Amino acid sequence: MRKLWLIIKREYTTRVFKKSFILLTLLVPLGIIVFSFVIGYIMSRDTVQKLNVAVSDPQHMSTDSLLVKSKSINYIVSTASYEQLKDEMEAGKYQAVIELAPPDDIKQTNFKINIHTDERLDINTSSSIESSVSKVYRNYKLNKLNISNDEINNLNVDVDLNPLAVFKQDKKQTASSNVVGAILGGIMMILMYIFVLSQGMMVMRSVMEEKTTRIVEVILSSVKPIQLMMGKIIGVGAVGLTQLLIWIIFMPLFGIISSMFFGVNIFKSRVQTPEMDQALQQASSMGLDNIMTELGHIHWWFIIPVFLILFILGYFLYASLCAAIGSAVGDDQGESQQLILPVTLVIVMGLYIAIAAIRAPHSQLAVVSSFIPFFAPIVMATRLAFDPPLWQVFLSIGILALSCYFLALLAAKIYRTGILMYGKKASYKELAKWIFSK
Amino acid sequence: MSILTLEQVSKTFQNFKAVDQVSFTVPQGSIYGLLGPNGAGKTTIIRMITGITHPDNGSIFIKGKKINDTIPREIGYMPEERGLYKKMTVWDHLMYLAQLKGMDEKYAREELKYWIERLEMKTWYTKKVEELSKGMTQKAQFIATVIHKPEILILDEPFSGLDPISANMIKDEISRLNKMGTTIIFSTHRMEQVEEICERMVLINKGQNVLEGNIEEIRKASRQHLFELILENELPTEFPNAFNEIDREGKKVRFSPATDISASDLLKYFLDQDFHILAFKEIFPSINDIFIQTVEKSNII
Repeated sequence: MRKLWLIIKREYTTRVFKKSFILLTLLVPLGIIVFSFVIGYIMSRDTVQKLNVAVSDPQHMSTDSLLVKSKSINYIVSTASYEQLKDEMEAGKYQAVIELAPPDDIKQTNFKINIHTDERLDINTSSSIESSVSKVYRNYKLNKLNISNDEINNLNVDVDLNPLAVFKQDKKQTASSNVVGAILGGIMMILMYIFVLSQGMMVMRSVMEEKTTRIVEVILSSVKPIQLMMGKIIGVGAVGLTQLLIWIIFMPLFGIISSMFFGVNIFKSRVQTPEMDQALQQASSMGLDNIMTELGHIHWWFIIPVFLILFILGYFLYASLCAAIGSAVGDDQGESQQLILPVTLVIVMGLYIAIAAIRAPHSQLAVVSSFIPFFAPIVMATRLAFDPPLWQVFLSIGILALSCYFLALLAAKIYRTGILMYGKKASYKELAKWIFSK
Repeated sequence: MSILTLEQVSKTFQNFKAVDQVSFTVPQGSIYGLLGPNGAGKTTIIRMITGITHPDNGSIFIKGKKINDTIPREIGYMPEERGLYKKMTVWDHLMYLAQLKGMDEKYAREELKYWIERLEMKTWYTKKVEELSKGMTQKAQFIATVIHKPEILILDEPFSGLDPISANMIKDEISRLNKMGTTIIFSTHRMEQVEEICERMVLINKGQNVLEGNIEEIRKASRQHLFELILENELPTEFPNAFNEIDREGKKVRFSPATDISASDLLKYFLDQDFHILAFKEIFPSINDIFIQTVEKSNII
C-alpha cells in the first residue's frame, strides 16, 4: 500500500507541478475565449457586406414591411420594370433584381421567381430571400381571399404538455424537467468522453515512455507490475480531476473576464450537439425561473455520487486497457495508434449512443447499452438526469464494477509481460497468450 | 554458506525455452560471475531471481527461503538496460527509488547524502536526469542499486559504456561493498572482467548451465600442460624432443611436454642445464578461451 501511494504521489506531482500542466490548465480556457472571440468576429464581419436587392413590382403586390430587411439583405421596392432597373444596377445601386408578378391562378402554390444578379448567392441569402418572397405571395393570396391577418393569427395554436403524475406522486415532472435533463445529461456525457479519452491516452503514453527509457526494470525490482500500473492509473486520473476542478472553479471567472475584454459570452458560443442546442433553445424560451425550480427538483444527492462512481469506474476501465496497450507496443507511435483504434472506436460509439439516449433516455438501445460495460459509463451517466429506474442504475454500476475488476486483471497480465518485451510489436494473438500465461 | 540457490529453474516464452533447468549456488560473500553469450538467458535468470518474473518450474532460494511471488528485499539490481525518469531531479529520483525499496524518508535522505558525497556528485544532485552526462547517470543508477544496503548485489554488464575513471570508481565501490559482506553477482560477456574480479562462475548457453565452479579450478581443470620459458641468454637451438616445442620467438619458447612431467621437475632440469631463467610459467587457458571452447562445444550438441 505504501509503495502504491509512493507511485501515485510521483505520477501526480511530476505532472501537476510541471510547467506544461500549469500552462495548459490556464491556456485552455483562455484558448476557448480567444477562439469564441475570433469566431464571433468572423461571423460579425461576414455580414458587413450588404446585398441590395431591387424588387421590381409593377403591380404593387408587396409593401416594404413584408420584405423583412436583415443584416445582410436590403430590399428596395420599385414599380419600375427589370429593364429600367438594370441600368441602375449597372451603376452599382443594386446587386440583384427580383421580378414579382401576381399569379394567374390563386391555387398555384409553386412559383419560379427570377432573380437577376451576377453575385453568387449563398444558401443563407437565397433561403432568406425565398422566405421573404413567399410571405409576399402568401399575403397576396390572403388579400384576394379576403382573410385578415388577425384571423390568420388566431389560427396559430401553441400547445405545451403538462405532465401530471398519476401513481408516483413523489416524482414531480414538469415540462422543463426533460430539457434540464438533456442539458445535464449532455454535460455529463461530454465530461466523461473528454476525460476518459485524454487521460487514457496519457496513461498509455506514460507506460510507453517507461518502457522505452527502460526505467521499468529498475522499478519492477522494487514493486509488482500491478502496483505500478494501478499507481499510474490512479495518479494520472487524479491529475485530470485536478485540472477539471480548476476549470470548474475558474470557469465563471474566465467567463466574466472574456465578456469584459471581448464582449463575447463564452457560454453561448460553445460547440454543442444539435440535441443540446435544441434543448438550450427550449430552455431559454422557458425562462430562468422554471429552470431554477427544476434544478431544485433534481436529486443532486443521488446524481452527483452516482455520476462520480460511473466516472471513476469508466476511467479505470479504459485506462487499464490503455495501459495494457501501451505496454504491448514499443516506442513506435504508429503501432500504438493501430492498437488503440478499436478502443477509440468503442468510446465514440458510446458517445453516439449517449447522444441518442438524450433524445430517448428510456429507449431499448439506451437501457441495453447501460448494461454493456464499455458503453455503460457514458450512457448511464447521460441518462442519470432522466430519473432512470433504480435497479437499472445499480445493475449498470454492478456490471461495470465487475468488468473493471476482470479487465484490470487481464490488463495487468498483458502489462506484466509486455512491459519487459523489447524489440518487436505484439499481435493480438500474442496478447491473448500473455493473458493465459502463468 | 550459500545465500542464493537455483534448483532446476526453467522459463519458457511462448515456444522458446529461455532458461532450461538451470541450477547453481552462490556462496555468501563471494563475487560470482554469471556468464554467457548474448541471448543465452542471463537476463531472464536475473529477472527471476529479482522477482520481476517467475519461473515456470523449479525453485529459487534466498538465504534458504523460497521466493514465491514476492520481490526479495535483500537484492539490489542494476539492469543492463537501465534508465531513469528524465524529467526528475537526481535527488527526487533517488529518494523515490529508495522509498520504493522500503526505506523511510529520513533514513533514505541520510544514506543518499552519504552516497552523493562518496561518489562526488555534489554539484549534480539538484539537476534533472536529462542534464547529466552518461557517467553521472550511471553513478546515479549505482546509488539507486545500493542505497538500501542489499545483501546481494546483481550487476548486469555494469561497466558497459563507462569511461575508465567511472568504471574504476564503481569497481572500487563494488570490492569495498564485498569486503563489508555483500555478495556480488556479475552478469557479463566480457571475460577479462570475470577473471579479474570473480571467484566462482556459471556459464550459461542457450538457457542451459554448461559449466559451473571455482574459477581457478576451472582453469586448472582445462589446462593443456602448456609452459612458457624466457631466458636471459640465447636459447639452445634444440630442445629435447620430449618437450614438444610449439613455437619460439627470440628468447621466449612455448612447449607442451608429456603430462607426467611436473613444473618443478622441468624447472630442476633447466637449472641443471645452467639456463639463465628470466621467467618460467605454466600457461592456464584464459576464461575467454574456456568460454569460447565450451560454448562451441555445447552449440554442436
